[in-house]
Amino acid sequence: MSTDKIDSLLQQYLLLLNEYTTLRTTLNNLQSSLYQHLARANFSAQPGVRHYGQDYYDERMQSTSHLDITISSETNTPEFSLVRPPVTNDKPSEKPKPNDNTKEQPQTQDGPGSTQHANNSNPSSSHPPPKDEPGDGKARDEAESKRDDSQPTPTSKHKNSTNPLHWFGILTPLPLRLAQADAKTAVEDIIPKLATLSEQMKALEVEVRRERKKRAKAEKEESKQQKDQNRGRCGGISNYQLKRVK
Amino acid sequence: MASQADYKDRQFLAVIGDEDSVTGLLLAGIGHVTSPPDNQKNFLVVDAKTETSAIESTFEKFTTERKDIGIVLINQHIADRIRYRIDTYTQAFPTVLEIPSKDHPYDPEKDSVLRRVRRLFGE
Repeated sequence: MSTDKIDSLLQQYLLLLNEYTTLRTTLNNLQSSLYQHLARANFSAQPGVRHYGQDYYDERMQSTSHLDITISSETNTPEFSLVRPPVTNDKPSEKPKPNDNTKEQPQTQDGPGSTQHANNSNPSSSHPPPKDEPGDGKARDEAESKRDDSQPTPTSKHKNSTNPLHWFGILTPLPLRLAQADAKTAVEDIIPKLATLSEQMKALEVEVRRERKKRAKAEKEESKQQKDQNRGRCGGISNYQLKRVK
Repeated sequence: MASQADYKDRQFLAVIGDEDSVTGLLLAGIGHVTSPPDNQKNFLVVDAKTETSAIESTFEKFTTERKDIGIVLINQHIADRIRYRIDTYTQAFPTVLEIPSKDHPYDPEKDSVLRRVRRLFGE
């Protein structure tokens, strides 16, 4: 019975091992691709950039993704996954609102040009410039400059704070971006799975060892019983022989 | 088994590796520096000058002192330098994973998980 159980446990273990080695191969390929891209980025770096490395790390960096650990009810082992918190676009969209309100007050006094600006103050419908508008040119220029000042700041601030690529500058080379894509795949898809598999394998190892111990104990007891039986038989024969001799 | 208190706050990955490995992984957004009084980083860049004792103490810090780390990634050639610590590490959290580096490709013979497999099958 215990042998069957050990066999089934080992079968499960080998399946996990197969998955582990497959993921390892994938991780190796991703890592080598990442190193190649980094090397290419360093090779084609702009004159000011020495090496894409720790000199450019942001000392106030904050993690953009968090580990989520849950204990599986079936196997009772931890399962790892990487969760990227949803990007809150509320803050950048909320910021321009007070500016809009401040702009709207003079707009009512300025006339038709200002109403056009009020419509364009929405970030999504901003860019097409007013073409056939007879309004004041200066007011329009001012409004456009205000719009240009106000719009990009919240989005660029937001991007700078989250994307580690911006530690290395605004116009980063393509290989560096490709390296980032490889790293993201490795970190989000492969590494949590490898960690989960490692823990599952650990739990199975404990179970297999426990079953092996049980089997060894059972075998020991069996052999002891057999010995006792054999001894009993031998003892019976000798007594019988002794009686006959007497 | 591990209680919920053991793992619920573990939300970061930590890295001990050479500069390229750490840069690559930080590009994925896992880097984190704690708020000013401590300023604790969750990564260590190891170069030729880094002493083994520094690697060991960082590993110790990531695995025992800090309660917010769920996975520790370490380059395999660096793990070799503190192999005795890696092999005797048995805690449930954080999980330690060895990853290849640019100059040292992944060697299954040295991988702690595959060493456990060999031990299980009696080799």
